[in-house]
Amino acid sequence: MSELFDPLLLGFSVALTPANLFWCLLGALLGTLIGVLPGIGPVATIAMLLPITFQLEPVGALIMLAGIYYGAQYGGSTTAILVNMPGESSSVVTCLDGFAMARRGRAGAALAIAALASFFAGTVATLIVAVASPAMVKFAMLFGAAEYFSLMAFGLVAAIVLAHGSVAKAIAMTVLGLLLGLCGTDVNSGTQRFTFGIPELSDGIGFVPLAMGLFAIAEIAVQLEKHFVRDAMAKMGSLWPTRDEAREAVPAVLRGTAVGSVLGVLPGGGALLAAFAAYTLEKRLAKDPSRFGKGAVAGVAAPESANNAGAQTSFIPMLALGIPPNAVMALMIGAMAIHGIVPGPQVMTREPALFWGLVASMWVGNLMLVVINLPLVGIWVRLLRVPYRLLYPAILVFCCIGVYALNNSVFEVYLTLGFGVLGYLFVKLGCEPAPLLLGFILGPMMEENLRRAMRLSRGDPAIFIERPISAALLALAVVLLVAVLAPSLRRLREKAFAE
Amino acid sequence: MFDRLNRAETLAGLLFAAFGAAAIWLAADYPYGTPTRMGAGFVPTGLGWGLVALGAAIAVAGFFARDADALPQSDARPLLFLLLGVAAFALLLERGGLVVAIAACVAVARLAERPYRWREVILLGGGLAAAGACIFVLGLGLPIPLVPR
Repeated sequence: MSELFDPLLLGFSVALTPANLFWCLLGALLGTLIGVLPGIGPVATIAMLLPITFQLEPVGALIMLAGIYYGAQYGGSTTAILVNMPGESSSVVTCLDGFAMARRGRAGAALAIAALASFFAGTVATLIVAVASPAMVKFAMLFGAAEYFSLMAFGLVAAIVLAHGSVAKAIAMTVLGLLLGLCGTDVNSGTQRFTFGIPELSDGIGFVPLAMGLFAIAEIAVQLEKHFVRDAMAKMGSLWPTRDEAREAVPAVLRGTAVGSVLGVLPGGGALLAAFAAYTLEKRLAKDPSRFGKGAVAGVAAPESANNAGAQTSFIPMLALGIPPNAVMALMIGAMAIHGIVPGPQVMTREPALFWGLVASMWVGNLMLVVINLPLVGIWVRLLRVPYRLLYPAILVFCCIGVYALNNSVFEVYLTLGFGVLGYLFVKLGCEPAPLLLGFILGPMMEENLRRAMRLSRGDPAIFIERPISAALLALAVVLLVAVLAPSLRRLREKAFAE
Repeated sequence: MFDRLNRAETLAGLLFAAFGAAAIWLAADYPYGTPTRMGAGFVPTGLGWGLVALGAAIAVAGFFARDADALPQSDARPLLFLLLGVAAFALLLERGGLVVAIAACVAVARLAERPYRWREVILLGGGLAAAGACIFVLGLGLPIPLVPR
């Protein structure tokens, strides 16, 4: 047991220092804030704040950024329940039953269930991160170039399968992302690729301008086009769930936590997918599925626990393998790189204080979030009354400053503009940007490992199926891809997303 | 004919194919190498062909599909003013300083949404300029010029 508890003690000794507690609280508060506000998500926020982390200790910086991600999962449910609008994309499903509960006068109970479900899921997921990461680090020691390549290929396939909409378009987006990732100086030969003679591009396309353009600018443009009208805000009612509500919530929370924890680890997974899957599962298992959408407690408890669990367990591949499963984790790796920490299995052994401090801070942050969310819900609700026409210029200005300040480069601001146009086109053409981002992150790593593996095997691609771990990963990827293309399963997937 | 072209699927496929073709064309200048010693052009060329094939398949499938969604109705006005706001920020930042750049960005980007009230925009621009200057330059000490040099 001490194998688990000694490092956790070290972690808490790091996480509970006044400075780190402050960063944790700040991250959780900011996360809740952007979670409550629609039209800005954790990707844009963390990208915006990256330049600020120059000034911080690496542990403090990572603790704050992590807090923003899981904090957003808490905040998103508040907006979903009270005004029937997802404050965060991962709270889309919470709207269905959360707002229905609110209309019945049970808004307070729905908020309390969402917050407590998130807290329980966060606690379990933190423990899973603490147990699974070291195991995965040991596993990663067996990995060579071929295994890393196959793992990333599997990751991309998983992201494709899990993306909304057309599979073909998701594959194309991934390939486009891989290509964009190769822009810049080729590390092996020094050749400038896709740089058009622009010196700023010799280090490659920045992740922050890409993410800001695709997510922040395109998102604001789409929001403005909608001219959305908000539903009247629901009354709070009592915070305490009734005994029946609690009895219905408990098993849903347990299942939601399990589903979320598994899906969070998968590439392309994380909070959004976890919430969808948990909701679908509850509907399948329910004795009376027709109650869903009309204020079923399980329809709030399951997705809210799942999105928080998923947000947390997505740290496992990032911390243990240095491979980001989603955009937020890619930004975390970016934050590590700013401080000269090379992500990968060696982080846990070389920087135990950072590793375990971050893990411990997740639990501390979750505890803070329950406190922030329930008593302070009135304050968050008041924020929702700020009209969007005052909000979006502020988001835009902070995006601009964030992009510029990262490298003091005006060029990157123009680059953001270009990706904003591209992002808007993608939305209109029904192409989800998430697989592109994952491809972009993994592109250079995959090429490097492919080259290394092929050099080892003297140009024989059989190396990828001769090594057992690599072969298993590739086989898994093929099975996934075939499964999603098979007509019967395809219909099931469409149905799952339609719900 | 035009109706069939004007579909999200068809246009998306053509866009992908165009990106793929551009990648192949650009990567033709980079050394290709052999599978054992891959040059800088090896992977980009392969990915480019893949993207062309995928894009073509998506476009053709979209073109011949019996029922496909037409391109959703769009109003490019908000996007245009957002982009102009960002461009104003980029143009003015190093010449006019952060305060001017933020104020200009807000004034332009705010045109994306009605109603446009002058007093409100001036207050918002001024407030954001002050907040940006205080947080990023005075507070965090980022090396951004505040006022015109």
